[in-house]
Amino acid sequence: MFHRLIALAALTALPALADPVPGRLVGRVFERGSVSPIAGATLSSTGSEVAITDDNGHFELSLSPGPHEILIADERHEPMRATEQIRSGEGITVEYRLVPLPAYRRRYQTIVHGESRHEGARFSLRNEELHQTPGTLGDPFRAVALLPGVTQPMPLLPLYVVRGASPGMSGFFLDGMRIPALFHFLIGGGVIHPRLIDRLDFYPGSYDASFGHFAGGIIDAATRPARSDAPLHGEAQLSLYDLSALAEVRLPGNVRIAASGHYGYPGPLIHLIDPSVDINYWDYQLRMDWRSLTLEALGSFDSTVADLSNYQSLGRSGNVAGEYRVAFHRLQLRHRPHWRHVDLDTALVGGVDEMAVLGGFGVRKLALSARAHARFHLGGWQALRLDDLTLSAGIDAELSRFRGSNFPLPDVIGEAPDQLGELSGDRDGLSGGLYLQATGEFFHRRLTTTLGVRADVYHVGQVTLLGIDPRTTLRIKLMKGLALTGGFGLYQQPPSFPVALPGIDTYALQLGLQRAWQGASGVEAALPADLTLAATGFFARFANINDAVIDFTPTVCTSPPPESLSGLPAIVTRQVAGDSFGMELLLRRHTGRLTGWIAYTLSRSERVFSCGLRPADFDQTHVLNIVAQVRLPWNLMAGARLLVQTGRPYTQVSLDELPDNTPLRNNQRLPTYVQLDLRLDREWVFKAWAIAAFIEVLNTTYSRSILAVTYPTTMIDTANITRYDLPVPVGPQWILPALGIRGRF
Amino acid sequence: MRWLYVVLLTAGCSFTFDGAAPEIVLSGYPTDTTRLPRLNHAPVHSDYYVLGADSQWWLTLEERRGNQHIWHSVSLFPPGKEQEIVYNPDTDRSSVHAFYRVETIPGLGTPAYPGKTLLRLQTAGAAPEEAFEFPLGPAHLATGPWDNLFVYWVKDPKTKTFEIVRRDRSYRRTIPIPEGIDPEVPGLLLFSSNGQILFTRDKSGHLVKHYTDREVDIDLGIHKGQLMFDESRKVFYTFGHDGIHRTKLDGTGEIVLDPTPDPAYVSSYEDRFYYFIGRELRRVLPDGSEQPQVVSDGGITRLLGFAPDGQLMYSTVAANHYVHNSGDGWIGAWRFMERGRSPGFSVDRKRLRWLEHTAQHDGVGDLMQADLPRGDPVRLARNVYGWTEINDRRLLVVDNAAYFGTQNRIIAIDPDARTARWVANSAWHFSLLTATEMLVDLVTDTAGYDVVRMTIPPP
Repeated sequence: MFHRLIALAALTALPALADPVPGRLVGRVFERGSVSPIAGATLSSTGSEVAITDDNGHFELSLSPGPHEILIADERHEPMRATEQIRSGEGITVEYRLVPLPAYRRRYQTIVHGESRHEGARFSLRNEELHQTPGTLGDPFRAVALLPGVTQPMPLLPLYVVRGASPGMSGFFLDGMRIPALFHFLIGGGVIHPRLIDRLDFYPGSYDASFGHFAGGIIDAATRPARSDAPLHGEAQLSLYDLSALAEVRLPGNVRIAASGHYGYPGPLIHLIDPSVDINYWDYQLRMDWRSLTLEALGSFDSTVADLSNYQSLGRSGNVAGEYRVAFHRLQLRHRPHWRHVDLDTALVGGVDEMAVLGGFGVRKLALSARAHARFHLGGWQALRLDDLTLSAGIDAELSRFRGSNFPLPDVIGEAPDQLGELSGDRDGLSGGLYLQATGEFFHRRLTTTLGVRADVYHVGQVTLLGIDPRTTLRIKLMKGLALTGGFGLYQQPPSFPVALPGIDTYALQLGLQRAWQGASGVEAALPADLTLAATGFFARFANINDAVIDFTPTVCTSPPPESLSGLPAIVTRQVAGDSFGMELLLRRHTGRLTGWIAYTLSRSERVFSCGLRPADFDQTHVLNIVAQVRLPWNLMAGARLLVQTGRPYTQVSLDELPDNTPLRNNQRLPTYVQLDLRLDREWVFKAWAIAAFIEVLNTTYSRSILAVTYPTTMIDTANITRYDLPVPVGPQWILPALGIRGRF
Repeated sequence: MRWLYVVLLTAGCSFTFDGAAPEIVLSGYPTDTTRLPRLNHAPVHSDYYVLGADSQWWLTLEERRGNQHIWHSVSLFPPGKEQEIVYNPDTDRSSVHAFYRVETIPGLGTPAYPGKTLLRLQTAGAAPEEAFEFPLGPAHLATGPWDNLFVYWVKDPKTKTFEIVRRDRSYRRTIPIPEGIDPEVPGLLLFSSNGQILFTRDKSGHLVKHYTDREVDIDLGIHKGQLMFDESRKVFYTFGHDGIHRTKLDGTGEIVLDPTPDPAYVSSYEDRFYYFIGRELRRVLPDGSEQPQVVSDGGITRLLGFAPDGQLMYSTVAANHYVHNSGDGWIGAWRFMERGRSPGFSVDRKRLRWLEHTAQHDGVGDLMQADLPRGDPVRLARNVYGWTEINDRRLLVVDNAAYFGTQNRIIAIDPDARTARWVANSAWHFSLLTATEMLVDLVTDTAGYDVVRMTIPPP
């Protein structure tokens, strides 16, 4: 650039030797509302040279004396014009601040995000979709509930059923780590600071062999390193029920540190719904990056305290500890070197999980795991029309130690520690996985296919499980803007508690592996007006899966509990077979003033009960999510989300039914559920900092979230009879306002 | 490429290597209980044995048909006879040898026409008997041995007396309510085993015995605390603030067995009382011929029984620490039970059996067995609700009962052969009728259960 400047100066100086000596314009270009310098911005003036900012936003421009209109432009920011008075032989120092373009107006994404190394049909969320989608309270993980293939059987609770599988079959990964939960209780949101999330991929099924240990959908999130463009970035958000903060620091040697966390105080809000429940939560994240090394520490804590006066009927009296508490902590050291043809991703992870149920008994898990993934780019082989071949291999292993724990409590009588059954037993576990996979791109990259197999092994006590899962994925580009996708494979998982909870895994291996044969095929099309359409059909056949029981009608067309379980696991777990099939549609618009999507899922999930194949307790035929966001003047963004979903099934019987005329399970459905959420964002951008405010109201329709169907007990003669003929839906009518402000620099 | 063949051959498989296979394997097929005739006509809410008019045992099933509540009695020896009585669950009640049905005759609210209550007794298999008349109002009924007599106590603040009535109408007497006793909350009303005497106690502790066949009442003096009668020795004992006292049934000859205040009776073994005073376990001969002995000075919290060799079987955990009285179990220094309940010995007294890990809401646990002395525990069945040893030394067990439901079943375990045989499915309770027959409660309906009579399958 220096030579260009010299040449330009010479060309302009030669004809006018008598002209005054030029002056210099020196300065930096920043992003408005931030301390981030802008690299690569161009500065130009009529008839003068052009300067380009360096990595620190510095520039230097030589200009003839007199007034100059300077045009500062960058593809991710609004262009800016400034008039400067240049004096002969003198220099002036300036600072320009460009207003960033909203994401929908950016032509090019110049920040390179971490890309997923997994194959398979997925839905990816980035940028504003992660933080400002209505219906999510600004939490990226909640946006998963708005995608096709996902049903939320108990609105308000972050409990997701993916393509008809049991909730406990979905896996959560963060930066490659398996974590036991993504959400705090109820309205607590995600366990990771939303602004630390760089990418969130949701794989509803039929993904490749690189994901293991789960037989259902996968949520794979990645955090980002601290920004290196300034010594310090920070932000804080204060809302009605929690406080969050994020700080990013650049140290010498390009060491980057990001620290963030939440502290929740949702008590007053929760009391509006149920005065007998109190909730507290917090989480923290610390990420340090240096070259290809990343050190991460994160953790989450949730506590729910409930008034358990009704527990007297369980034989308890006196002080009853009504606290339900879960917590987990992770420490990961990750190394991701890259050579010319090889990408390597290795990590060592240590973790602690804790869960305590009402009564103070619980489980504590210590785990140490290691994993390594490698991708070898082998190039093409034109004789086979193969443009590129990539081989992937990976291995992971985890050693875990589970201990039943009696967490500190006040004096308690009438304790029931055995209610935890197999969850509370002391045990040491070993689990491991290995996969090999080849990805080939053929016919000028029109056909991409992946063929892989993985083997997973689990060992506890005297029981060892081994599963071998073949999987394949396919993608065919028929023409520009039109592609076919597909995938098929076996997905196996060790026995799981029906709902993913910290400290509960690698247990009850005697039940055998849960199995799901999954297949999906779809079409993706680019439509006019920046619309994309994806339609996917899926089918899954489940065997030996651990389903949750949410309908406790015990004598009507039931499925027996696993005989080898006891206590709570035996009560809430069913070992069943079944099918799930359906169709997903996603019409989406990423760009423009109006963005959003329409996601519709038509599905049927069935289980084999004693009276035959019947709808699963979680089955919901229609789920429609309409998400719309519109950018308004004055940095306003308004959004709305409409959810319409079929009620889940339940069973109603008549007291006069004869045994031979037993009614079928799940013969009724709860009412259709409708929920409308509204959100409004506004940002005020100042010189080096910005402040934003949002207001979001979930469930403005004040719909009732039915958490369970109970059956009252009445005394008939001398016996208590459960009135299965009189089901009573239980759950709150609710509305959840959220109001917050966020400042950043 | 061999590895590739191996992968392809094994792909899509899962393998379970279980070295912890069950010690006892369940075999055979359950009796098809759906083909067995039901003893009930409608879902049963409760059932119990009653003594019929033929002096044989009957089974009474409480059923509900529409809005009607029915005592449905069926004869068991021999089977075939049935009787149905419609009753009012709010007022009527049943006992071992009589159904008590109440009929209210409303009055005009005047002293001349106060109204009355008719109480009609009826035995299973017999016709209703002539009604007894009593004052109007809700009443407390205390039945005597074999329902040969009863106490009728009208629960009204104005009530001054109660009545003792002999069922055969041979005698009927009226007795003042003991002094200081709330007429609406009857106090002690205890019959002797032959029904000849009714014991009452007033608020100050005066124990009075009332003859039920003559107008004789004897004041036995003040005796507060827990009462225990020993009719064979014609004495009674009190465990109270003044220690343990023994008194003859005529009120004379009172002696003090242990003067230490507030003893809590636990058990009797080899003719000795075992009792706690604070955390101290003591024993004493009830005839007063020896001084009280300290058995344990604090390590024993509960006495669970006595081993065949006479050692104490005990727990160090209080009964209310865990649900369902669960706790640890010891014989001497042998801790056989971690957190269970219901320890008991085999009929031959060579084995100890108990339910382990029962501190859960339904009180079920693993049925464990250990040879005496100090044998290694063996798990016989899981999620067991109850069990009984039958004549051929097999165990009838209700297992797979983590909660009430159709998965509950009865199995027969041969602990010697280490085999288990399926007996009945959808069964949550049984009771032995004879050495080869039992009644089984089946979980078949949401409104109640069915009862069948079935033969215990041979080994």
